Amino acid sequence: MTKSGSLLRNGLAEIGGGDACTWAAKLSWLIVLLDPIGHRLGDTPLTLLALAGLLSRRVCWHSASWTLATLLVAWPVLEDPYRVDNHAYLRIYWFLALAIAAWSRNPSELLVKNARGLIAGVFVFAVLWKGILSPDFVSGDFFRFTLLTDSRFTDFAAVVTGLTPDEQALNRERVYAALASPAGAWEKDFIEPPRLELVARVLTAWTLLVEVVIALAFVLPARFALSRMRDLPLIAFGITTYSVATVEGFGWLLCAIGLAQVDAGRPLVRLAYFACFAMILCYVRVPWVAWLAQLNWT
Amino acid sequence: MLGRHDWRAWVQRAPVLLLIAIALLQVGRAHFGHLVAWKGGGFGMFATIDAPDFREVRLFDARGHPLAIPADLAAENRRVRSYPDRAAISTLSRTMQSELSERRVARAEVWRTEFSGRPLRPYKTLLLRVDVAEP
Repeated sequence: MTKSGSLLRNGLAEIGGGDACTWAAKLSWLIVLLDPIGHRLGDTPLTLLALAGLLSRRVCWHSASWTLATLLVAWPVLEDPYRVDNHAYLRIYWFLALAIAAWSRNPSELLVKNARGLIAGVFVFAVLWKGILSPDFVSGDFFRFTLLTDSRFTDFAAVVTGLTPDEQALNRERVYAALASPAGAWEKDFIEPPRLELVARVLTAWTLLVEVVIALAFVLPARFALSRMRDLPLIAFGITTYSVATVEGFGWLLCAIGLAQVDAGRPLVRLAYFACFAMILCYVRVPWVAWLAQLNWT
Repeated sequence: MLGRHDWRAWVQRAPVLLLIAIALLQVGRAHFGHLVAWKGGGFGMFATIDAPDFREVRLFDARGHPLAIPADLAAENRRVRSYPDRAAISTLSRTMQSELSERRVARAEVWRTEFSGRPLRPYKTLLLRVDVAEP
């Protein structure tokens, strides 16, 4: 009990007292290993660089390492900017922020500023798209359609709406038929469980609310209470969103960037970002939503 | 004119400035050029049903007969569906040309399938029609 107590205390002291740049760098190298960029030529050198970064303290926080890593993660985006997902862009900005901080004389201060700016930017534009530019998000159509047809959300849809995988597969066939028909022929409507409308409304409202709160929390200056509590909604977003959404690379990046901007005197908040990172890893490896869905059917 | 200090400050904030610039460009291209919200660095993922999978490229020869896009041009096809600009359509048509012996791509159309209403139903919209110039 005493030994485990002191282990926990020492662990917390190490996390809380350590340099934010080093922790952020370590997590970022780990992301490279967990979520490769998917480029036939860039993946191998980047993986080797990440391994070196995790094994050697000097490589871990060196301007040359991060400059090279930035160039390598930028490669697939420069090659085909409309194929890659948005977190491929965020990874470039974040690695560039690490490179610039590593080159500068005041790395921590610079990294904190850029980390907060990047999170603010991501969520301001996400809110702009969901709340203003895209009419089918606020109407609830996006979540209704996704739950009814998207195979990445089969288990989640089964748990929250009661739609079985077979019913979802039938819905998907109707989508394929509509896509294949030049005029969009539609013979039968989707199989819609009665709970779908309510669930779609709740998901729409929750997603929009949490993203607006995060955007405001990271945009507002520190004199606002919301700004001082900014880590809470971001961690809540990470824990909830990535339990369902299959874009773990984005979640891990947000954890690393979030961690980088936490002050040294707040070990529990830093620990929460680590825990969120670990939870997202568990979501990927442990099919817990599928287990829940099976419980639902039996 | 920018002083040395100002120049450094801009470089130091380059990651955030890049994010804003590219995201604004993406919003503009989506609004005026049919770029999908999901792609292009504007953080519009999971905001709309309109994704590349719900778009379709239709190619026609000079007589108006449809031309099937071969499976090995999936990357070019997807590029047009993500962002149907003239450059991407020309690339797809040119690549198609090398695979066709006699018939030539004369016209390209990009269609979007939306799902809306209660109950959800599909609606097809023509996004773009382009007459492909002689090579």
